[in-house]
Amino acid sequence: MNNPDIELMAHLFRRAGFGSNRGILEEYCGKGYEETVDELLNPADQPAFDDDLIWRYIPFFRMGTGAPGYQSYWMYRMISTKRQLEEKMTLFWHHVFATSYSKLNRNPQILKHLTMLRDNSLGNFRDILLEISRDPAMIFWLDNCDNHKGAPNENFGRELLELFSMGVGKDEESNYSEEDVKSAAKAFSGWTMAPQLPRYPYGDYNWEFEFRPDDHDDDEKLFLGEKGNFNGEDIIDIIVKQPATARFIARHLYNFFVADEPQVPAWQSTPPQDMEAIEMLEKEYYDSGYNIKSMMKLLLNSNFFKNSRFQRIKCPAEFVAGVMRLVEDYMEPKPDVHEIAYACAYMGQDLLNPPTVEGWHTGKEWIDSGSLVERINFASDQVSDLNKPGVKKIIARLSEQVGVTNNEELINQTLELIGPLTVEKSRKSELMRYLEEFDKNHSEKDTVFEQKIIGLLQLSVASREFQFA
Amino acid sequence: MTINASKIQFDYKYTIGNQAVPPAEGFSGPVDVAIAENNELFVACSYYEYPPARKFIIKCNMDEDYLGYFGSYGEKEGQFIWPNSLAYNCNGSLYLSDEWLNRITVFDTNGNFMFKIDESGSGKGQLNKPAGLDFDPEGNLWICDSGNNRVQKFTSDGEYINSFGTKGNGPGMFNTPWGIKIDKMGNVFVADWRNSRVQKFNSQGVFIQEFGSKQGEGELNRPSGVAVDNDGLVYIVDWGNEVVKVFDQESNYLQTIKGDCHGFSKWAETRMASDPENMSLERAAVSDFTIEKIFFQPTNIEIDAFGRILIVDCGRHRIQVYEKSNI
Repeated sequence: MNNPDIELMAHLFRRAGFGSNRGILEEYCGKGYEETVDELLNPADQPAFDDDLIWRYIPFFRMGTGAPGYQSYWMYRMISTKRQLEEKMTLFWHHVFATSYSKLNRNPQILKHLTMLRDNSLGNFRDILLEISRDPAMIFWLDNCDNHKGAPNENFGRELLELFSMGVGKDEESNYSEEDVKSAAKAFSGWTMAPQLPRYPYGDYNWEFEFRPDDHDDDEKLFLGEKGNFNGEDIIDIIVKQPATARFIARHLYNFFVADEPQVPAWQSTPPQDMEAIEMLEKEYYDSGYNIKSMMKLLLNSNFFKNSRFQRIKCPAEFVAGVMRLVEDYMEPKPDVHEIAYACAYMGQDLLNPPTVEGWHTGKEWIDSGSLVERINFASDQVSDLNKPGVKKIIARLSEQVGVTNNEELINQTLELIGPLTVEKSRKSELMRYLEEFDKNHSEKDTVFEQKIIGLLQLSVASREFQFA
Repeated sequence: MTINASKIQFDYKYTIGNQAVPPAEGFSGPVDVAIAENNELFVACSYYEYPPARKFIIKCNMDEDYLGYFGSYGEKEGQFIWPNSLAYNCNGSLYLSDEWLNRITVFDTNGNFMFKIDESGSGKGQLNKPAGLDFDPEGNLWICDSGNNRVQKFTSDGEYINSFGTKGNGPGMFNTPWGIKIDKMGNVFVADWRNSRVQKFNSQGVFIQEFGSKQGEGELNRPSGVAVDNDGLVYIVDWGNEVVKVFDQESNYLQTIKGDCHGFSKWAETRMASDPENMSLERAAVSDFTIEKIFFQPTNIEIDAFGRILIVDCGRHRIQVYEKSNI
């Protein structure tokens, strides 16, 4: 039987987190939807992530030379954190401010970058832009360390406008000119990082931000119609006021948390699919003084969010972390978490190593024949392991609630426990065919119940519907 | 004995190690050191897990002569997953704890597997995340059984003798303890990691006193290792604050050692000589070398028969050697 409260709570945790098992969802239903949203929006009220434990058992995650360690650390964090929205927002900002270790070659820096994103994830957008502009990982990634007075490098200034704040255009209009890019670049000249020791002989060191006044172009600049001796901070102050910025952030949040939108480069010419929702978010952006937490509160409590179930294709990180939360593995430190992190990369999302500064194309572009096979194999492998606590719980619950004879109820309850997941009739028919075939070949039903459920779980997580959040 | 903190100082002497993977001379994430006969050292390294996994024990000496390595990542005999602590038994064997496999592996000093203690569980003699190891003056092995929040005592052959401790934060209780040290009187010092304190017990496991405060100079944050010198000073690796704190026998805080590595270790010299131009160019641009000197993720500490203090500076792939002097 459908339970609307559980379905809505499951939707909230798929989007504002990485999913939760049935027991936790039931607990939160007792608490109430809006109260749960408030809890998610205030991560400091929830237990902190146990960095001490993971760094004791795997010290490499903190010191390591070799970036897969950071992917593993982050994936472990997505799977096990109790501050789900905080980590989901960190992933969101990584999608927006896509920064890669592949160029850094100074890997603890990427850990510091992630910490910066997390610490600011629900903060003020002006602060987020300022922090990302002062972040050594970003400065090196987009060459702002080569942006000098009299010899500007426009890479960061251009992407700040194009990919991080305003976008190329909206409503068929351009949001900025080439002159604005040049002015932004000049304003950020001298924003660099202090020299740091080399990796050898004693390991990696982090860079620190450094402003060099003698390398900063302090001349008058014209930027988005305003004139002055602007520095980077002034540029950000001007950017955050722009209607294009409100639109850009609203669309990003909508695309990541509500429903798949076209890819970012198409936003200039393709209007939002739900203009009313975007306008509500834009208004909140201004009303709250550019506060992301306020925008998220509006979004998560809105009807357009509540009615958007299964309208987004899970990105690989969501998919992998969600499956691991379902089977309740890696909830505590454990070796070989890199195998889980690598699975995410095989599905097309090499965390902390995006294909370009534009990040990943999302939605349907996550799925091709190769990545779909990876998804199905990964999920199927995980739910087939009877040693996983989450799998044991599902089987125990089905055994208690359904017994072993009613196949239709077995299908309904299985879909309920892995979602709740609503599937097409034809999918249910396929599941029923599997069960009937299984029963035909196994007369001792009690002794093979676990095996029967494992097969049902494998087919269920291989469904089209399971790919959606 | 009351110690006047202003009358002693700790002098940095030299460093052993640099970041390298065998067979190159160096360490990769050293977590503990054991001091054997003839100035020989065994250093447990816990680095990569993902292929190629890099976990091994380096054999070297106090003069930084590289004498080889043994061990590897895995679950077979002689392999390890999460190495935590090494202890040398004067009969010529080396004991390694593994917090994942719930195993103590015993090697000879050539790295040959001898036997293991590896019954998992919470019953007598069973292990759950064994961490710190040390031998008492009678040659018995003491194990910080961290997952069971207790200390267990075995013969060196692995026969269970007794245990004490339970989970909690009162006297004689533990929360995920890490390092352990037995002084020459047989007193037992336990780094009670998640309770952010060190507890001292007599050889019967009776609580005597606690080291570390919740704030101020003597504050401890997740202590991981302990050592006691011949004057009774207690050295605590304050893992969370990334320093070593020194206390007198009455638990009074005396001093903090932050790390002072300057110049290069012998192996580092060799490494730097391999690419002098690039190495010196990058270093020449840096004006403040503080970050190179100080500890990063220090894990453990040992004091040798000559009073030399060896601090395992895990995150910097080295051991900093100090000596105490009276002024």
